[in-house]
Amino acid sequence: MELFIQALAAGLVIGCVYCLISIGLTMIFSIMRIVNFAHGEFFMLGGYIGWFVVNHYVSNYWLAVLIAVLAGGILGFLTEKIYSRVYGKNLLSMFMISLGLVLILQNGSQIIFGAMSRSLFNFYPTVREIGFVRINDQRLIIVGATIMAIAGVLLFFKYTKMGKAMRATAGNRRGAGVVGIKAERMSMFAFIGGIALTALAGVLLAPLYSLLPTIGDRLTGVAFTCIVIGGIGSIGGAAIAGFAVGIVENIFGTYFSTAWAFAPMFVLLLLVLVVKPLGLFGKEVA
Amino acid sequence: MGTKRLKTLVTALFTSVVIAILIITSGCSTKTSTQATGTGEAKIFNLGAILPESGWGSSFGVPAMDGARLAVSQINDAGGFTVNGQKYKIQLHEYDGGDPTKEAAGATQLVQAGCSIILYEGSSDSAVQAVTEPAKSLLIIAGAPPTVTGQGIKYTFCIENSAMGSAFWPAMLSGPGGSTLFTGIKTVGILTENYSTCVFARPGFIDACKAKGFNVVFDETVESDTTDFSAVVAKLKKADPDILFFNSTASSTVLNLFPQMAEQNYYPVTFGYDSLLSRPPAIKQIATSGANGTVEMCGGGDVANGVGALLPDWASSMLGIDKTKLASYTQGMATSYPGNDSGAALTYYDFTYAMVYHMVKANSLDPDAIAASMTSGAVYNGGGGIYKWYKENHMMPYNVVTARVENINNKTGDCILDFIGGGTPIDYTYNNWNFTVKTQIDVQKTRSRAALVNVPQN
Repeated sequence: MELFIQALAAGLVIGCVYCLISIGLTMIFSIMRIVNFAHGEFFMLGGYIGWFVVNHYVSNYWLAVLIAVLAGGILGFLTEKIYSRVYGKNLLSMFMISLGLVLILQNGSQIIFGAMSRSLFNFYPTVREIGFVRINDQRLIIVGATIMAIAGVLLFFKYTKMGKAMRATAGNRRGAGVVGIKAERMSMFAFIGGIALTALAGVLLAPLYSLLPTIGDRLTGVAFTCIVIGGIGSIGGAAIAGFAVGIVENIFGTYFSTAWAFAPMFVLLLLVLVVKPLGLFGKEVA
Repeated sequence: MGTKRLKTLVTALFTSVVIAILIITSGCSTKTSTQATGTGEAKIFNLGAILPESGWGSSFGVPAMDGARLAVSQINDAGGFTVNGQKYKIQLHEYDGGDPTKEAAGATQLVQAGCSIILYEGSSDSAVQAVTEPAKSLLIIAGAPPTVTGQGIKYTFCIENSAMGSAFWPAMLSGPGGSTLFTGIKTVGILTENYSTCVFARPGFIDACKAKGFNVVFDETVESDTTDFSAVVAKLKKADPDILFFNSTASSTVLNLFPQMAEQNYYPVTFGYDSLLSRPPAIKQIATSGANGTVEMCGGGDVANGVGALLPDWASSMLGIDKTKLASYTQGMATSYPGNDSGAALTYYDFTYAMVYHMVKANSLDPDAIAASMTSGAVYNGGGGIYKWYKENHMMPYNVVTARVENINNKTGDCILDFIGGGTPIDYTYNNWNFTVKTQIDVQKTRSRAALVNVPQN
């Protein structure tokens, strides 16, 4: 029982990270229908920016988080500008841009931050015992930040004018344009918000695991899996899928083999595609 | 030109630029260091190096390449080397072996560029060797699996192989009342990094432990880029072996195991392969003080990272360290390559000099003549140890000192070491060792690493 609860707790923390990345990707994909293969690289950059701030400027983790999120937003703005040049015109060009971004960001990070693994100092290493679970404060911060981020995103989309406009654009881009919503602006905000969330995930996880320019590779695949499982366009669906994938991965790795820890994620994906092709909370869109 | 045609042209141009950027930044091309000035009299000698300068092996490959570059620049600045009356300056051809699937292609490129000696470390040893042996290019490796050396292999030479994990470490373990480094053992665990020499070390280690009557209660393999060990630590805690062999030698990312064990308040008595001591301080930052108490091997090439200054006389003698040469190396690294001081750098620094030594000694650039010199018993006294190769299997006598890592500073990665023992192989088989035990650890009396060290844990 103790083992199961510890595995559940560890999976929940990883699930939080998947959740943030998946929500970010959902925001972008639902509005622009762009397959951004470089999404995981922004997670990597968030971690590196946090490391860079702490190691070279000021030893303040929260300032590093703020700068990483702001930088993520700026990068999102710039990335949208790149994609918007060919948006809706040439699928192959968008695909090539996406792949090109992966290589540029990975190799650029390697040049700027170096190829060796880096470690962001953990300012919150204190370990607490909560029942059967031993968990350090940094992991609790990840859980807390994720809950706040999910709540913030849901409230934003439900109650704000901008959020409603973005939902309308995601539902029907042309229809939204007819009522005066500028789709290009919505795309820009989707990218800003989506990449900022992903960068937040990176800087939150960086104190726990070492950084390498290639750590984003796998996460793009995980994020796409989560948004398909959760349902394209569904923020809540992406969040639930993120948690589910993290928990299942960790429990499977604990009880069977860490070498096969990723297998359940794909089994889950196949099951969802067979039973509910639009995803758990997905809806048909125009 | 119509608007539509213009837009098509712009799109095509944009796509072409993106493709060009893809190719330029792909990071898999060779680069040639401009060390060789090729002045009037001196000819060029092409030296190749395939080292992982990206990916999880970069913590070894980056400083290793820097070590080779330092040696090349020093040799060329001194006027180069002379063979058969002809002066030569070295041109170093570098290939980033960060992608294991491209290492053989790199070897092909370097052979085609005329590199008759290639320094190497990676995970595709056999594939690279399949290129270099027929081409009669000498392949010099720091850590290699047993499959690449032995009978019939003419041009491949290495320092260590999986015998370190499958012969040395089992020899250091014994049951209750033994006279080896660790005693009181009944159960063992092994966590293996899925990397060439580690994979080969695992079965030999397990077999040796079983032959000694130890029960293997934990046996897992993880990928080199693994960072999340929550499942592994949970299983390890449940199995709770008397001692854990952390069979990892290549990747720094797997060192994330240590802080995660500390988080779970689990400090098993642990010994390691070559993960910590031969790497720069940045790598110990990843392991954090959670690695305190781990016993690691320290070979001849592991001394530059501050260890050399601490090395006691008996350990220095065992490793064959020439401390005067070590001083000039560390000074050179500090000035030329600040922040990259590490044992990996020293190893490839010494490799480069050793190759030049043998070419001059053989008075020939012919690979067969160089190989004959290398197996003649001739010794090159490097900054980090004695470099010579056994004729029988082209391996080096890897003299080992074991040190307990202590007091890792989580912010700087600095640490102190307690040297507790070591050994020298008796012959080329590595199956028998002469070893010295300075501090014995009874794992039944000391169940936790935290009790072995006198510093508070984070």
